[in-house]
Amino acid sequence: MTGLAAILRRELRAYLISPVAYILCAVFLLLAGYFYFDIVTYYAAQSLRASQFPGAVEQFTAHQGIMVPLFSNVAVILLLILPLLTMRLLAEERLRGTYELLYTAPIHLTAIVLGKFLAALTLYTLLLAISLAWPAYTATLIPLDWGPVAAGYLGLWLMGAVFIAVGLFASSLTQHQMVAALVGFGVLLLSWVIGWAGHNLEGNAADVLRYLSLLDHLDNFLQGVIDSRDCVYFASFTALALLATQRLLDSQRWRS
Amino acid sequence: MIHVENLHKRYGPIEAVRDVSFHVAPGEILGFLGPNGAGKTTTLRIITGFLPATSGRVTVGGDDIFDHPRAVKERIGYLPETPPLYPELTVCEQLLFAARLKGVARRERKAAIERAIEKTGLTEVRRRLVANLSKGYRQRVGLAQALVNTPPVLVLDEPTVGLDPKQIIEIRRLIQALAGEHTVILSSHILPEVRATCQRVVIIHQGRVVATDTFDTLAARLRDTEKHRIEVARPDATLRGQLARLPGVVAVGDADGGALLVETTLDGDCREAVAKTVVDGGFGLLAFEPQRISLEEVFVQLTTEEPVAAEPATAEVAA
Repeated sequence: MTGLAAILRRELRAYLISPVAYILCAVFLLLAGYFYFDIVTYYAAQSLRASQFPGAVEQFTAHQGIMVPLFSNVAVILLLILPLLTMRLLAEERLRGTYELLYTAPIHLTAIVLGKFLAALTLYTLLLAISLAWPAYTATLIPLDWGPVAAGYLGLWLMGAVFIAVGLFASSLTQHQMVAALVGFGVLLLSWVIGWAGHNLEGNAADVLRYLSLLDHLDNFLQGVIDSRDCVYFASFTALALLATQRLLDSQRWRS
Repeated sequence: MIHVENLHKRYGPIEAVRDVSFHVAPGEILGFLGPNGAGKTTTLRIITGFLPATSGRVTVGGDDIFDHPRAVKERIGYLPETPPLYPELTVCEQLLFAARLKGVARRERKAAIERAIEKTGLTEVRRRLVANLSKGYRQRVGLAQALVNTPPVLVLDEPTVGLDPKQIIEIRRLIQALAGEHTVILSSHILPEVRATCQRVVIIHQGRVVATDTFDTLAARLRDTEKHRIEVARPDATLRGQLARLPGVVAVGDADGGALLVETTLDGDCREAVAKTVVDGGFGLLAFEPQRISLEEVFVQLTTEEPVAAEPATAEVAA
């Protein structure tokens, strides 16, 4: 698609030049690293007790004891951090007036939306790749089953794509980055916790709410189960947010 | 090359552009003149496909902007009022991005960028960050960016606004040098600028086209009297009276340097009678020159007087 590669490259460059991306990565790694340390020390203490009093304390595998709680914490950190990564994508273009160049270039709006989405997704993928250090280090301490770990990473990656697409949509609403970050965070947090209501209700409404919840779909991946329903859920959520972004950008031209 | 027909644009209750029609011939430089808020930027944004029109048609090179936006956008190099540049890129990177965006083939990109840099005189600053460039240089980068895929049409929105006089002259020269190769629409609210660079002018006021013509015919059409500046060696109060009584003389006023300004009707040449009166009276005729109606005057009339403005709105397009 014409223009997509150009936009992708420029966005990646903008990320790599600005300190924001580095600071976000550093904060992510620091927070997740702290959780990893905490989880590992707790797991070590639990394992010690389990060896002293067999049967009294439940013995977890390395995946259940370390990776699942780590992934759960990482997901929450991503919920906070990814909207900050995506907030500038469209809002900044609007504030600087550079969108006039993009809109008058012989390219489709879809190329703009996808180029920006893929740029943030690339950076996020890099971030996840760095975080492989934790399971790798864990594997040097105790035996680790890589299958469920891979499923967990796939889940995180798919969920991150949803976060980025929603963040991009939020960024298309405004020229103020802070507004974009807040809206993105708000929508994501709501999609995250909407399942809680589902657990308290009964009937069809409960099923629907549970199905809509990001958290419930991530759980299967974390347990090492790759269910096509969850994949479809994340992929369609992402596609919907990207489509909404594209439609919104188009309609803004008519309303401005 | 460019046909604009009955263009309307509403922003809610505000009608920014009302029934604007004009044509631009290939290779022509058209001045798009009007005071601030006249609807110039809106019209240009519709032509470039940035905004959709409420109604009306714009075709560029035969294709409608609404039906074939990509074909039209490929043909237009657009420099908005503030050049759309990314401060974190260098001049070369900015142009490379523009070239990629506009689909310049990989093999031709380098040559296209070099050509644009050379044309706009950016060689010295090519490695500098856009953020660190002066406004004049940014304007040039914007222009280079518009040129990079050598589009047949250039649309320049107030290209000299905010520049210092030296930069203004440089940018104007640059635009004139681009004429011939490109069809150019240049918007401005400054009359001398349009006169210096454009062959033909469309004057727009409150969203309406009030005149479309060349400068000469525009000035002639508005002129229903002629003014003559008469300088005499020995001015005298009686001279004024004598001149005023001549048939065909409408008014006698003061011109600069103590000279007289004699206004005469267009029908029936009374210049001879005026000259004779001055010479016979022994006032010592030193100079007798026709006063061209200044374009600033045309402009003021066109944009402030609605009755005058209403008529030429439907005027034919000059060849």
